[in-house]
Amino acid sequence: MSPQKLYRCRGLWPRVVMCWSFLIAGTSVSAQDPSIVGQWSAVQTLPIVAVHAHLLPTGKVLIYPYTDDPHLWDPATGTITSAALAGFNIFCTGHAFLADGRLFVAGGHIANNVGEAKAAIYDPFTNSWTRLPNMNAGRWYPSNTTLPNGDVLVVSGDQDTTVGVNTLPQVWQTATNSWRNLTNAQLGLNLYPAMHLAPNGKVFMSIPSEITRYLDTSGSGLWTTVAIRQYGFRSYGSSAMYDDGKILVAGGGDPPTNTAEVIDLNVASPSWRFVGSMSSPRRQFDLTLLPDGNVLATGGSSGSGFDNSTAPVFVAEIWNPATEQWTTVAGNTKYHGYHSNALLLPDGRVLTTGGDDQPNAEIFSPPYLFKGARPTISSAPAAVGYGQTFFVQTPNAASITKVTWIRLPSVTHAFDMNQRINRLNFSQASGGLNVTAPASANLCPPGHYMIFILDGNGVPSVAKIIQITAVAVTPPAAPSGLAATAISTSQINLSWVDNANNETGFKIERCLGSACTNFSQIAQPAAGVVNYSDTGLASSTSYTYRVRSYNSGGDSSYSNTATATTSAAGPAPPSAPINLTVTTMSATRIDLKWTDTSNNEAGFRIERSPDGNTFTEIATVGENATAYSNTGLTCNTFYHYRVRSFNTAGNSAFSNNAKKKTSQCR
Amino acid sequence: MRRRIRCRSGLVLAQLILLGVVTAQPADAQSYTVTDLGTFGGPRSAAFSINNSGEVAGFAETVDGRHQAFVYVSGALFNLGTLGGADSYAYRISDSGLVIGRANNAEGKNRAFVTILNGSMFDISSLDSRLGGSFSVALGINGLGQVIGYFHTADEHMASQNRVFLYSNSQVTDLGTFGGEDGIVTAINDSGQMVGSYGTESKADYAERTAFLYTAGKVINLGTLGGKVTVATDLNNNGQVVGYSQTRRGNYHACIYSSGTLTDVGVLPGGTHSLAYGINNSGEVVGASDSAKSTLHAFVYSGGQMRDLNTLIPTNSGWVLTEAREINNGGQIVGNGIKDGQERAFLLTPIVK
Repeated sequence: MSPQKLYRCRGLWPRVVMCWSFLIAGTSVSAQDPSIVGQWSAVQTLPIVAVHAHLLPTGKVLIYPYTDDPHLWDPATGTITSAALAGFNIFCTGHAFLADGRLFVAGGHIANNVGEAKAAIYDPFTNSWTRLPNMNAGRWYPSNTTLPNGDVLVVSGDQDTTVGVNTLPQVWQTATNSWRNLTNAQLGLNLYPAMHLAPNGKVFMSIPSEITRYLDTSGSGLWTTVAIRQYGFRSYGSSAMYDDGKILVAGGGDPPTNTAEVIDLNVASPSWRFVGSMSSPRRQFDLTLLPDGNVLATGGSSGSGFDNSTAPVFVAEIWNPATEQWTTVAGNTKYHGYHSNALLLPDGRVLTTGGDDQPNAEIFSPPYLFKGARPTISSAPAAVGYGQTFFVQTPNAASITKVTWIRLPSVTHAFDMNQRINRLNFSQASGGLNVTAPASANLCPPGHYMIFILDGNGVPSVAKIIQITAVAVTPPAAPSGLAATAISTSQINLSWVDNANNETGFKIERCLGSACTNFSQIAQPAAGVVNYSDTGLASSTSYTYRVRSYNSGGDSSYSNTATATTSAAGPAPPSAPINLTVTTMSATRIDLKWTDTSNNEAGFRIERSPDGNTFTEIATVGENATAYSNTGLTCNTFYHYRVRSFNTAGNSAFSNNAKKKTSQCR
Repeated sequence: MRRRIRCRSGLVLAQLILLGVVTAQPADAQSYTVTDLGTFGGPRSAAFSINNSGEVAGFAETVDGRHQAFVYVSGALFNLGTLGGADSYAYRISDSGLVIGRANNAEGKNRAFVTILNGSMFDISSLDSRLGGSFSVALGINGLGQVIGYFHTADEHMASQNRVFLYSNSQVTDLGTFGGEDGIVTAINDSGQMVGSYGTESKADYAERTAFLYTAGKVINLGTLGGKVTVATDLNNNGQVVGYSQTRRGNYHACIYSSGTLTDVGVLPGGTHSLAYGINNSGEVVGASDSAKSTLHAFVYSGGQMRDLNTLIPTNSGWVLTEAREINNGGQIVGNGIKDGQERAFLLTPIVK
């Protein structure tokens, strides 16, 4: 981190105040410690301005600019490729992920303040678009909210400059591929209002208006007022649900404010109250939920006017829900204002991109990435159901203190339309964690989430993406091609073909014999595993195996059966003789003695060497022998000896070496 | 358009009603018959303009979901067609029956048009290539047949600007932006006075916008109700202007500009947000306001009093009138509401007592 990035103080007076307060917040040494302030990447140039950004279930990021020109950015490689075209201008759309991971977009750009009535679905698995029936009318700057049953609420958006905003909320019904009109809830809303699915199943509007309301989407719809915010109109502020039913709004307005407010929708009479203020006023910025439950503010302008690029806010800030205060962290280098966005990546970094005239991206690594080794998730199920306890395999289970998941982001115009975090209950288990998914879809609408496990230092793992769905999960496809191979008298190795992409793991069953049917489970390897070694078996014994995969939807059917027979057991080689001693008896004779340690030898093999290196067997003696006389030797010559026992299974190891010199020649 | 509701006074209002302190309407309140203007087979229609003969302009949906400009004459709805594309929208109708708006051409581009019942739709951009970009629309017409509107200067969003045009005597004139980076006009009266708004940003909501009256070669800033956005939507032949303006707290209130003063029209009981869309030569104003029920209701404003039009139509009519868009000199009102769960254009005709 260069000091220039941290102390960028050009611009108007609010910038000076911001920088001053940052300098006070920490010494110049500690302030540059990435474990305290995090670290920004270098600027990456993009071929387009990313006005809209979505993290797909595939792990890639779909971005699109002012036109129908979507691209896919791969966080793993940094490569960017063109994506399929929608067929209409998807700039200024609202968007939300469906339960199956496809991206639902509504509205679009005909001209400024003139919206498309079109809607479409982008399939990230096939890189293709599907057009849907039109909405009642055009929408330019609508907001989309995924509902507990997987349908999507669409509100607001300009029809055109004469008609004005589309006052009719509509619900996209996935099951019937049709729209439901909330005709009793017609209301003129601000463009891109911040809407949040609340714990009671209603949709809560937090900004920009200070009049915050619920929309009950059942029947023909009904608005009710919840509470009046403390601060007034927060145009281009941002809003995030930082815990179940708890919402943080910050910044916005013109001139922008640095204030922030929270509301808890879980209490009987919710009301807004101020919390700690940001170090700088901001508008046109983003709030991003982090895996540790904190909230990151990036980008925006502190200056008056719609999109004041002369007063950029480069430093980021992190809001702690426990203290309700902000901490200033490192700053970036590009102004990400109007038409910018920020989104959490599965590796725990935050992508900040877009803004008018900003075809680039910068990635922020929060301080938690510099606080030690990261826990790892070896495997996690691809899909789970509501309230289901599922196994997350990790070698770091003992050190895990928190498990969270965050819905895949879909961001534009300072707001992630369905951003939410759930803090998941869990317990340590052998080799991993037993984690329980939220029981209510009100807290966790169906779709895909990034699951993080965090250690006591708040260091998160890289996330796995898990789908939660109210719909019964389909059991995985059965494995095939099971083969069993005997390796020894006590081990049989298995291998099979994995035909599924949604298994949680496999169940291996075994029975004794070659035509047996009384199988019992002997092992449960993880997803993606395709072999297993069955050890500790009896020799000369046949075993029959079968395997099946499983997930939260149940077990697959079985594979073929496979049988193998362990090797026959034979006599073991004898143990080695010890304590070999040699005695010179004459100029031509040396006698050997040793201790017999074996009870199954057939005899002993005596070897001799002139130099202690190259031995030649010179004799064998029978069972239980402990002595041998070597005659016919040359006088005044050294001889080296060693002995080993043997039987039909083979030889033992050698005894120790021993040497003697024959007597002088006469 | 931005609408909000504040319900702080809702409880008090309900108590007053129960006590009989607030009567439903004054004894001399005008009442209306309500007419459903129908559709072209689809579920939706919308009306935006009515002339002094009671002819109405708007759009209605077809069975296959296309929006088609219509004129409503003598109880019948007529499809005005398009410029070769799918959709068209009629926004004004003059006393002589000329209808203006925007329509898709064969390329799907929006083009400003003028037409008349049983005539063919004329693409104004055919006279001037500057109107031949991605978007142009005609929004105002006066008794002299002068048409005003605006056009985008470029297809690319970041490079685009809204500029005002005048179509008169078969000539198109670029009138510029009236002082801002972009300009939009919405109405022109028989004296050639025009109203609209200009802004420093045309790209989004919440950007600062200034309403103006263009008269005798001068651009008059209409002021604000405390916020940074004021939009003019209509004017009458007396030079009175209506529209809406942001208050200091960011809500929008319907307003009238007359004799150099911008006046807050207010909101319906329990509401926080209102917009004025039309004014006739008698100074009667129509528009929409949210209300204690958190839904939009159409209103008429005259004599310093705002009335909910839903209280002036027969009970059990099946209608919820959500917005009134224009009122003619005879007091007839057109607008939009919900009828039997569908969005429908309505015509209100005063009942002569």
